Amino acid sequence: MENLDRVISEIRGIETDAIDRGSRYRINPASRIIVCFLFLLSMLTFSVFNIIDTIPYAIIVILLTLLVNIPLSYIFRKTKYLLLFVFFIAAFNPLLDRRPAININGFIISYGWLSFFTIILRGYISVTAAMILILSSGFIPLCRGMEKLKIPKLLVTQLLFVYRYIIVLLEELAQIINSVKARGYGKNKFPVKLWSVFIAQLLIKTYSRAEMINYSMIARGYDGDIKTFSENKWQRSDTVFCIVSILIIGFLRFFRPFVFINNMF
Amino acid sequence: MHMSDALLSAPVAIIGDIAAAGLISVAAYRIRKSHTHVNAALMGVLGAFVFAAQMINFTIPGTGSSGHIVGGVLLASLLGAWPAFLTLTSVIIIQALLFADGGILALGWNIINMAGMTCLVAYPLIMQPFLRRYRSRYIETDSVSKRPVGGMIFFTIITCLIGLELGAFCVTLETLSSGITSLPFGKFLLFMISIHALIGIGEGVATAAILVFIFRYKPEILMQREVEKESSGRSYKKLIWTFAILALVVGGVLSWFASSNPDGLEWSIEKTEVAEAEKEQPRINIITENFQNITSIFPDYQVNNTDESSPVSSERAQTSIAGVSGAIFVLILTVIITLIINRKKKKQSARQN
Repeated sequence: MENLDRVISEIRGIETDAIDRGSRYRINPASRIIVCFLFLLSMLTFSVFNIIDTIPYAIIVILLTLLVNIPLSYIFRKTKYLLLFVFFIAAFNPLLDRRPAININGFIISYGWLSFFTIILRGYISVTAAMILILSSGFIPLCRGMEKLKIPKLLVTQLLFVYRYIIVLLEELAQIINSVKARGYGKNKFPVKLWSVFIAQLLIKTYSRAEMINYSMIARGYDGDIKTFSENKWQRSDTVFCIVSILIIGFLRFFRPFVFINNMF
Repeated sequence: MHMSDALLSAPVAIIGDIAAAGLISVAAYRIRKSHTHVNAALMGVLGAFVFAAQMINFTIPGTGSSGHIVGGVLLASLLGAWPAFLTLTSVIIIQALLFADGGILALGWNIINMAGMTCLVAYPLIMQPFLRRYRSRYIETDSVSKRPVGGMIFFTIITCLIGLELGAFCVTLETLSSGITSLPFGKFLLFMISIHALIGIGEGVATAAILVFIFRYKPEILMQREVEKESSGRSYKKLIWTFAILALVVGGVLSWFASSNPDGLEWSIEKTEVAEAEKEQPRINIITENFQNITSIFPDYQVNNTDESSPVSSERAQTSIAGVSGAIFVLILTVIITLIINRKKKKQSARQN
């Protein structure tokens, strides 16, 4: 239950927090999406054993969390369980891949361990980058950005709809569960039979709600597009932002900071 | 089941993204063309419903554990294959953005593995023909008692199972072709298939329970859907070809690009190797232990079992160690500074309040 409440408040918080997190930078969400995509893509072009060149990406992401004011503890809390699958698959590498890579006076680090650490690091970087993207822009501006990037309008409409109704349905679900608990079932977990009854009831309610929404949309002249005020035009600042970011990404990818520093001395 | 960016290489990720983009465009095109009663509001609100349903876990009988539904087959039986695909896609995107499930680059494969395999492969093959037959029979018999549900339960479970297994199979293929894991194909596949068999049965039972409930008490939801009108396939075939070629080209370019650059470790090894060549010393590798299982990935580094006291090998080890430890040091420093600044900010805001 606390879980549900927390999720509801977190989703509510995204739009409001985005205003003081990153919207003040006045950068078009479309350009943010492009940069985030290129950033992660360039990271993945390195080999999985290459921890040296992955670390600069981590440093940049950490610095960005400072800029948009997301505490690191928040990221660790959110990714606690989600990286389990990644961790699980990576954990086999040190066991199976024992080719030695580095030798420090007899202490040997194998390729398996290198790839293990790189994979975990990559996992954190990609999750953090996604969080920076959503928490600094807000969900609805991000959808407008997607629209600008020629993602089919139907999908963008879907995203807006789902996002809008998640909170409504979660609140309704919280009511149902409260009433189930109040009537003395007294359990936090529900067997499939009980679970299916109240989920199906929610579904039936949802279905008739959707029909009403549809009729009222048609009554208000809905013709397949949700019309939004598109305030966010592509400005010069966006071009500058994109060029600077791409230069930084290019530096990370081709000059590779640690190699670069090493070459200087 | 959610793939993460960390488990993909760039070419594999980009091929998935382009393929998913293609499928999404086809879905959007088909939904616009086919005039069913499925509408944007219904799709959107049902997407939010799947989200809400995933929040509440049910216990899996016989075991102590609990699970939640994925919702693919449920959506497909309510909406039809393509609308369900698009709805589930939007759910997966929101999960990736709001809950950090998977990642942004892995979205493409996540959409294909979860939404595509369930709604576009398993559902049309198994569940759809069955539901069509059910529908025609339902129109003939109208009383509640005459509605048998055994077949529905059976087919739902089978569909869920096959959809999830296909997804798991794809996850295995993607991870292996990215060169991320050193697990052998057979073992990895066996592991994924067996785990997802359990998940699939759980998903199937839960979905069937919901569908049966609806079939008993509000059958028109399942039954009113018209058979999707097939639009002529020509115009989107072009779309599919465009995206397929794009995926291959971009993937190919990226893989060439990724492999032509040596990685940091290789680079540091290379550098010492050049230095050695100048000294005209015999070629010896950094590795000093007796590990025999050497490498098809780096064939240019032959392993000689040199003794540990060799000055060259330790010098070389120091170079690569310096690189790695320097990088890690900077990373730790950044984390510490960030934590300190965060704490200061917190104190400041507390003072302001």
